[in-house]
Amino acid sequence: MILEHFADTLLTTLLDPRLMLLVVVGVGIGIVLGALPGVSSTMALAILLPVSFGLEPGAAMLFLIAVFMASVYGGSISAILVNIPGTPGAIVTQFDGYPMAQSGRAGHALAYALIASSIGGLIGLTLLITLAPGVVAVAMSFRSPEFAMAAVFGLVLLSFASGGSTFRGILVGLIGLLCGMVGFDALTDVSRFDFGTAALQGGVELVPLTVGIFGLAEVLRNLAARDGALPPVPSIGSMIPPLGSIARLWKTILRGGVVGTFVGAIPAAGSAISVAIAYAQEKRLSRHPERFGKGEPAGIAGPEAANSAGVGGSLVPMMTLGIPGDPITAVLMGALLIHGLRPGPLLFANEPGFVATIYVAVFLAVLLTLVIGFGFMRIIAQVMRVPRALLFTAIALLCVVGSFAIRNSMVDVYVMLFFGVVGYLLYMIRIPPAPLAFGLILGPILEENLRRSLIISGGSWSIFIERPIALALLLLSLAAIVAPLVVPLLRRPSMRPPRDGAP
Amino acid sequence: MHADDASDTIAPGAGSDLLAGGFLFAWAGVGWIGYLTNERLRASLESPSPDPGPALLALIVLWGLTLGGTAVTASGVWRRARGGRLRDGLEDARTHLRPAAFVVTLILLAVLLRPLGFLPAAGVFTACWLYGLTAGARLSLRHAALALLGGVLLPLGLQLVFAGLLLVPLPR
Amino acid sequence: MTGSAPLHVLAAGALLAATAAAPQPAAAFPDEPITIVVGWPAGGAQDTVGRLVAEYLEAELPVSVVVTNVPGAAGANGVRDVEQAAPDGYTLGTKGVHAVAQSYMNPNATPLDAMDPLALVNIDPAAVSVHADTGIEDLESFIAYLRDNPGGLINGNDSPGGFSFLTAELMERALDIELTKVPYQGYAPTVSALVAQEVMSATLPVPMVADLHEAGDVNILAVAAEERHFRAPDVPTFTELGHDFVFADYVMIFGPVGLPEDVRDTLESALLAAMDSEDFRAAADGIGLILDPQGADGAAALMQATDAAVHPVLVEAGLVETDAQ
Repeated sequence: MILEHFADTLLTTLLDPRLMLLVVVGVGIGIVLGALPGVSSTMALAILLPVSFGLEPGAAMLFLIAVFMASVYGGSISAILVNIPGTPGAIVTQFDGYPMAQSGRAGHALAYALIASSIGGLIGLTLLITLAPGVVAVAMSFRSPEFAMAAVFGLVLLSFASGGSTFRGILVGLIGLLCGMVGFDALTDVSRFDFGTAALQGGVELVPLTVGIFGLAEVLRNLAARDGALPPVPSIGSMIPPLGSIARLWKTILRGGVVGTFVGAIPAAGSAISVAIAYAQEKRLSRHPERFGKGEPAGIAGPEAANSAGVGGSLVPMMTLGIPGDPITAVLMGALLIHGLRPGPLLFANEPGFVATIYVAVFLAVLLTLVIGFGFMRIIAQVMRVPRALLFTAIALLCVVGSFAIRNSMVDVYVMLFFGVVGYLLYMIRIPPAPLAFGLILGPILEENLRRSLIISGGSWSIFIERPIALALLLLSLAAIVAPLVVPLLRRPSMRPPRDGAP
Repeated sequence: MHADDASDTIAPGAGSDLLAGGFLFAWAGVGWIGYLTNERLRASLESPSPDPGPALLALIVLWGLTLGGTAVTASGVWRRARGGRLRDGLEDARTHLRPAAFVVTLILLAVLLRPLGFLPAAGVFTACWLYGLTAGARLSLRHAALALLGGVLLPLGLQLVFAGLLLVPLPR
Repeated sequence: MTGSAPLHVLAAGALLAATAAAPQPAAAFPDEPITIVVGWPAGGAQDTVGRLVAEYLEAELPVSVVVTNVPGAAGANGVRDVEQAAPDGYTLGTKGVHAVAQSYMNPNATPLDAMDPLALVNIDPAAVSVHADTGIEDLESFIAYLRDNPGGLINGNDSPGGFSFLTAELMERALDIELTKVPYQGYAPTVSALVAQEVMSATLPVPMVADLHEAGDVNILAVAAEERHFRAPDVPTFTELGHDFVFADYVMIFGPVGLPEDVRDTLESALLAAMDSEDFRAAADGIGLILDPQGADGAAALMQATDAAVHPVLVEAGLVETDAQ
């Protein structure tokens, strides 16, 4: 029945030039806002909310979802071209996207990201339509103990995936955890590590941290030279990668898409864990794991597919239970409420036409992001040709303005500058910065759920062993830590990494 | 730009290990101060509730950083003892002059943003660095003109996008 | 609010650029955009109401009204931004019960006498719900169960100081029962914990659980209001059942202390006029809001009443960290 509604709505939307224009405009705005450092998908949606008030509900959803989908891809553009992740998910995209662009294949990197992102989005949508109840069942089987263990798993995988030694990756992840503890404790309201200042009480925001530790640090790195020379301008290369190498990615994209949908559907776990899983699993399964981190297409395609598929996944709890799974769907849900529509268990029964509108919106947003993304890719890639002096100054200014923009606070600008220096230091001492950002994202999820589990179990730690999913995640995390230490002792190191800890 | 991955340009050595150990100790140190001066936080360990309290993870993380810092420092000492030099794994100090100057001017920019307003402060920052990065110490009228143009257009463009379209109240 | 979307954005931008051009000589208030600061992320209850008010306030004033989210520190950051803004009427904020609690719990939070309430928008009465699988169908059996097993139900609520936490505390007193309280960060995670039966009961406001109640997954047992809630008309109030328990969250618009008299009057009457419009009422109804439009005096009175109810609870829970009283 929902498929008929879907076909109906799709047809009427396609034939309505005004609605199509709205989607095109939404996609355009979404790509640009997503690519701007400091403007997250959530902020892009919040900014455009008032615009949607003037539209009828269906058109408003079409517009907002177009912005949402497109901003996810937009976030990857800045990740690939200037090393600033536009969304948390894009942190992983830049592991391989940025080196690929720097080595003169910016066009390919953008194309891999766009193609994987589009197919991932469609996978997410397909699973959303066909399996919503199944997806929601998986999501609901995740409770506090599982969240805690999933956060541990995500942190460990990321430490493994981000290059360098897993041990040092975990150490820098601990710094992220420490930053995540600044401010009020989520469960008791005790203030921590704020040194009595109001400035730190609000905690360390993710955006200034990522903008500083990746964006500004990269500018500083490029300014570092004994002879005062600036690095040369890399070429852009061709836009379309060879069809063969795209076709070879189909398994990668499919795996990423499925992981992204299910993990994306788990409330609060969000895209950060799913992209870490997608990247680590591609690195494990690859015949050339040593190429990861240097511009490997699968390192872009897997996480990108997972990131976009997560959009479909994150809509599942909102549509079926009326619970927004993350800040972005919370904004979407706010928009629905203002239009007098209440997502929840009764939405499918009472308003199947509206459910179909949301599906159509995701579908069209994915397709148009693909078309518009390819149309403008050559122009977007020109960022690479900008004279270095101008590019670095512009990025630095963008970092300042973007950090200020999150909550109009100079504190965030200083936080960004601080982490810019930290990022530069990390580069000097050969430790990857990504686990620090993930520690900040996953640390609070870990702590809150760990302690809540213990409150519920009455203080017994066995709650993490008695629940099968939590236990499995715990064992996988342990395997991922222990395997790299133990396996080389057992046999001579080979190019192929140990398979023991593969997720 | 550096085409290859950072960790491959220079392998870790005695110097970078000692520095990394110090880096971890610095974080641990600030954290320990924050923990020890926070009475409510320390008192939460005594609480009888099943919630292990806000100090649990804080302690785990601080011990992790302290022990991890020790291990990394030990690796540096080991490398040094085996004949590694303190320079190993580090770049020449002069390399960092320009990045350091850049950060200092950015801090100045942030401090002056409110008193001067966004457009003037960002304009001066942009013009100076554009000139410095293109012309260096030379005198060049052409570069100066380009730097001035950049100093006007770049902040204006940002102001238009962020203050104009996104309604961010940039200081003015 | 007509015309195509991007044009609207451009127009707003042009307007701002124009007003930004030069400081004008003193003109009639208001002549530049008004900002409403919401101390919570976009999409939450405070945000939704704030945006709704902003949209209709725009129709009453010659300038645009912009909502800015300044989250962090349990809403205290946003409130402080308003407190420290120039008292010229161009920076307003939204606040609820959280601001009362924070003023005692956080030495850095804004004290109550540094906020000037301008208008009350809506109230959001407390309620208690249980998962249907608990088999508890009315308040009486809920109380009976807890009297037999003190602490035997795990209740999902905010961290200490949040509205649903205070609800649980006050309800425990009013009914003489004891719950095992488990904190969640916000209402959405609490609902999902209730649906997944990680918790058995939750002290959430009615709109969060009304659909689940209707679908039969959750039973709302009672509402802590004078009247029944229109989104769940079959649920009795605590008062009807013989328990003296009335407690509600609210959204009020406030400014910094020291607004000029004429500015304050202009804002108050514009807010009241905005909330009086037919469309506003219809929109609020769609969201499930119980409107209770009142001017500055009514808002201040509600704030005082809440203060009186909440303060003893915070003292007893050992949460008071400031010298305020």
